[in-house]
Amino acid sequence: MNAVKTKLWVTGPETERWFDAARVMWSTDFHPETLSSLGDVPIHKRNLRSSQPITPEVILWAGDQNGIHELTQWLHSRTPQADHRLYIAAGQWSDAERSVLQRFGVRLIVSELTDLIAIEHVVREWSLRISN
Amino acid sequence: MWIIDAVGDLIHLSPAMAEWLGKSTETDESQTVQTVSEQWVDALRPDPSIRFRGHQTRQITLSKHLGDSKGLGESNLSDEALTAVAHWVSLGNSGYTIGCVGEFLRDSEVPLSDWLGEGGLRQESLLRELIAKHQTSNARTADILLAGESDAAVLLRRRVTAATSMRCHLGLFTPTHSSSRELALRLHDTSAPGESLTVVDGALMDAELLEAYAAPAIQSINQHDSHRSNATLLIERLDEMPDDAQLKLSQWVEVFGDHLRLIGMLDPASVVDNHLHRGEPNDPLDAQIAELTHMPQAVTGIAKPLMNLMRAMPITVPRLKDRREDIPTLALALLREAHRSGQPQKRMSDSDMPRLGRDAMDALTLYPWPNDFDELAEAMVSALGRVVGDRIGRDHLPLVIRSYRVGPRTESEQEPEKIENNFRIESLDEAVQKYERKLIDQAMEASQGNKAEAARRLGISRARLLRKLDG
Repeated sequence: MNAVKTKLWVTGPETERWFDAARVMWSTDFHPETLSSLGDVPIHKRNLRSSQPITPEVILWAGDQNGIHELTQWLHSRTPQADHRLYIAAGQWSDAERSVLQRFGVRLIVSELTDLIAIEHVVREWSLRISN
Repeated sequence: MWIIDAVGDLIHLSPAMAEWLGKSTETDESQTVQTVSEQWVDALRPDPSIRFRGHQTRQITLSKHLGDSKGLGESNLSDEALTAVAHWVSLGNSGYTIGCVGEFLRDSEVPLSDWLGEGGLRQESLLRELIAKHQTSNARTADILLAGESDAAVLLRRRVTAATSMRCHLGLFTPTHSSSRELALRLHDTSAPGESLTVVDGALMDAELLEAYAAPAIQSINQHDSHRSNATLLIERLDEMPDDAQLKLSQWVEVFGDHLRLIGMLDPASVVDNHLHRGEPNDPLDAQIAELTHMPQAVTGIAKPLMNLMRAMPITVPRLKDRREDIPTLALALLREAHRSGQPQKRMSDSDMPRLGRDAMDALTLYPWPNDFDELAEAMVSALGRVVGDRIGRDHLPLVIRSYRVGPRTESEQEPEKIENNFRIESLDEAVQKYERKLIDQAMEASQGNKAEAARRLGISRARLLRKLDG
């Protein structure tokens, strides 16, 4: 069950803070890596005919008070979303901003560091399902 | 600032106002209000005409000495008098009036950053712009998805037209892909423009998380009558949503009625699968328990009340392989879209667009499209990036598509069946001889005519090979 290798990339202005939080609050199955910007997120495409198991990819974007523009702009400019990727936005967002984030494909939103605990099992189940 | 209630009593005095009047701000607020003399309260009351106009502005004069020495009468006007222009605004039909004195800035004198907070205006306009762009591109993709002349496409268009003409619960029977997601967003945007939208992934929710994510929507519905607004909840992968979260959803729908509109996306494969294999509960008692407790039915994977809502306006998006006749139309439309969005600054015209060669079109039509519409869209973008010249051929398509051959596997699977059914050969000896001759020829060819080498390759003696060649 723990054999699933989930990629976890942490990026955004508040990377350091959330990277540490993910390492402390999430189990050792996740191996977080930091990326200096969203542009560094690798463009992996799933090979549909390959028999290799899919590697689930979680992207945690840690925003600051300057708003969600960076993430939404990046999501908007990308090609259609891949099912093996899960986007999490971290930060204190207003209802309107949350709605926009959801519209652009962000599926989990955390505002406090401890919110990571509440979503850990969800992310784990998701990665298990994707890799199977 | 101060507040006068419906019967004309002073019920609140702000600390700044109390200070202005010379009252101590240290004391309790209610005490401060009580110590204000009746004459002052009288001055702080608006004219009765405020009931008709809603607001009023006039000068008030308060004698400080008069306030401090109650009951001395109005003769001591020589003492220090406070004069100011006061403004009153009545608060709706509540009977309360709010009054204030002080200096006011004109709107134009207030910097915008003070109105909206740092960067607020810019953020807001950027967000609006992004949403508008997103909606337009959504609408374009959704339009392409609906194109085509097959029966399935025509039915889909009719359903979508009906669904956009009214605000109702919608069930999208399609796997959650980005194209189906865009269709769902477009259905929401056209059927209920401006209504708040919350998007959740059913597979990622449990009851607690669902409650947290849907909180803004539920709060806006929960307001009292006139402020109550509608909200839409778009749920991806509804069929994978855990039972407790589905139960929560059913309860909300029961409580809020049509104020909460659901758009659900269900994978038809899993829904049909569940229905076929597990079926409706056979045991009447199970069904009764499920009915009475309103518990989601484990047998269908989806709570019955939710399933009924989803079936009220079902939209089934046909898979690409089930409407192959539309593939050329869709491919061309997607190519045009990719061409247009690829180089927006040059404003390329359609005439510059490379055309799709016949071999490429054949490959697209025969490919099984496991990832459906999205894969076709990606294929067009990638072909456009790879093409040199004005014709997209099979070689410009992604490797998966150009290397696809209509199943050697399926043929080899089907052939033994054919042989089993109509098996007949003229003569076994003749067939064996033919096969033997074929192997000998191959060995001779491989050993370039050297008979000794060919015999070694066949695992027989040279003499035996010579006999066979002679015979």
